[in-house]
Amino acid sequence: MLLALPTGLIATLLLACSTYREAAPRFSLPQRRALRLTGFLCLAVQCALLIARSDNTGAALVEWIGLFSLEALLAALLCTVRRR
Amino acid sequence: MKRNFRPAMTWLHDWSGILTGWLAFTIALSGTLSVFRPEITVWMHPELTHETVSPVPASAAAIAWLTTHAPHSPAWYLSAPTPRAPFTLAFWSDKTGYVLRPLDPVTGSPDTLRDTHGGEFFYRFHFELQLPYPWGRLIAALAAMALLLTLITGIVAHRRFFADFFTFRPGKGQRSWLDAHNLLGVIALPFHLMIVFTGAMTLGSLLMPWGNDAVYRTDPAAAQHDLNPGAIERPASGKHAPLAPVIPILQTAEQHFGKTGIEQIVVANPGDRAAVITVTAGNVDTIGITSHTISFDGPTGAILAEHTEHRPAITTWNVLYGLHVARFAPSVTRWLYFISGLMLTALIGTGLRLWTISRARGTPRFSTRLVERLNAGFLAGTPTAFASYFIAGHLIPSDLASRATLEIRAVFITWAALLLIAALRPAAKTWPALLILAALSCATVSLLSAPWHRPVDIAIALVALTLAAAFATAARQSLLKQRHA
Repeated sequence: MLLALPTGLIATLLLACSTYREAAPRFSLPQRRALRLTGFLCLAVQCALLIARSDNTGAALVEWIGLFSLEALLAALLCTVRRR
Repeated sequence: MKRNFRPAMTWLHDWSGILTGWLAFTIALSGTLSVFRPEITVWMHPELTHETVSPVPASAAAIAWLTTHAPHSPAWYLSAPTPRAPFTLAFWSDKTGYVLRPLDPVTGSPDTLRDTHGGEFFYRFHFELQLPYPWGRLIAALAAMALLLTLITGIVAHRRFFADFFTFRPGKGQRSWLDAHNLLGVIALPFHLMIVFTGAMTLGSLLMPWGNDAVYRTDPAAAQHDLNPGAIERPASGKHAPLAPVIPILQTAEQHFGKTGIEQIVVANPGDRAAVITVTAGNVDTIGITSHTISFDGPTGAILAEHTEHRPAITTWNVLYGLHVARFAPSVTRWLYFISGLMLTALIGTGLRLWTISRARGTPRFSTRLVERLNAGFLAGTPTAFASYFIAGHLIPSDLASRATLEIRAVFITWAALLLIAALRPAAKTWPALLILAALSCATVSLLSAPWHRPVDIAIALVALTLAAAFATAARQSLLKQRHA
């Protein structure tokens, strides 16, 4: 869990950075695509970490979806603060 | 058709949302609270200090007490103690009707514990709406179907799904409300779809009873037996016979169940020669709800039937229902359910608010003004009404007769009063007043958790304090906006 949480948060931050609204002035399209790909990879790693830790794959997937919502909310708040 | 599809879906999203929004809001909020149903029950019993309870002796003590004090009840329904709920929750009938009480794990008596429904109130309200069967469940089922429709049409209506995934632009009026609505909807969309679909499916037999009616017609017992062949039902013989010693029966069940342990015990026809003790396993390691049941003959303790569910259709239903009620969930997942539930509640709330904001330009119609006022009453009043349940639970004297009923009355009286105030006053004045009240009531819940000895008291105090801070911030914003206007 200790490793899965920061991995997921990094993943959502990378995905946030790859969106047009957040990153268009800073990153070119290929860079944004690379950020998005890395974000999805981090999400996959987080999912694998949670499944490896849990006795029940289904329960781990439910937990992963829930964690993603929470991390996406944190990422959105960080983006809002940064934009202000 | 293609050109009109999205506007048509937007129209359907708006109207299905506004017609069932207040109901969906209360169902979502009570469902979110019932994630921590046992913890709320423990919080509402400050006298409950046992931390670990063994289910077999506690259940046996409960059955011994019921044998003496409720011998004429047609059945006793018991939920065995768990680490989260260190008490036996019993349901039986007496002269006054059905009784729901936690029983002391040592003595088996309810006398040492105050009379309260605890977290069961929110759980029952979530799908029964405090209405008689089947009306509450039918309304909740229709609301769940409408919410599912609103979610799906919302996905179609949302134009910039991925571009605005992380976007929230505060201080921009309608744009900010739309951003918040989209954000809350999109980031927890898998949870929203799962919880609403499984909720509608749970009550699906009420929406579509014809299949069951066609097969079983006037024989609901046959339907029940086919659904759970491990639960034996037989009519009372009218001949007295005491129950066999319960502890060996429960130990046998525990051995059969393995690490899942005992979850529920039903004693049908207690004291009769036709008594049956049906024991159901818990489900700590599967998402699906319980699938292992054993029935024992009451007077002899012999096993009458045992059934472990493997039929695909019922197992699928069990998994979907298990996903909704989250009994499988370890503590982290339970908190995620709670936070996602709050997001769904806020999603519905922001949607209702958007409906009025988008129609408030120029001279608003009577209907818009009415919805605006009732929005204030429901969205800011419901949290206060629910908080009043917690407050009443701690302030009503513990030995007062029918105090459980008084606690529930406190919710509905508070709710009715706040809705009346909201209906009579302009919404701009009501919002800050009701939000301040919500903040104060949540802060009171936090204070009533004192002296914060038990982990559950600390957790509920922290959640209530966080909610109080959120309501206070919203009230401040509302006041600033009012002054600015």
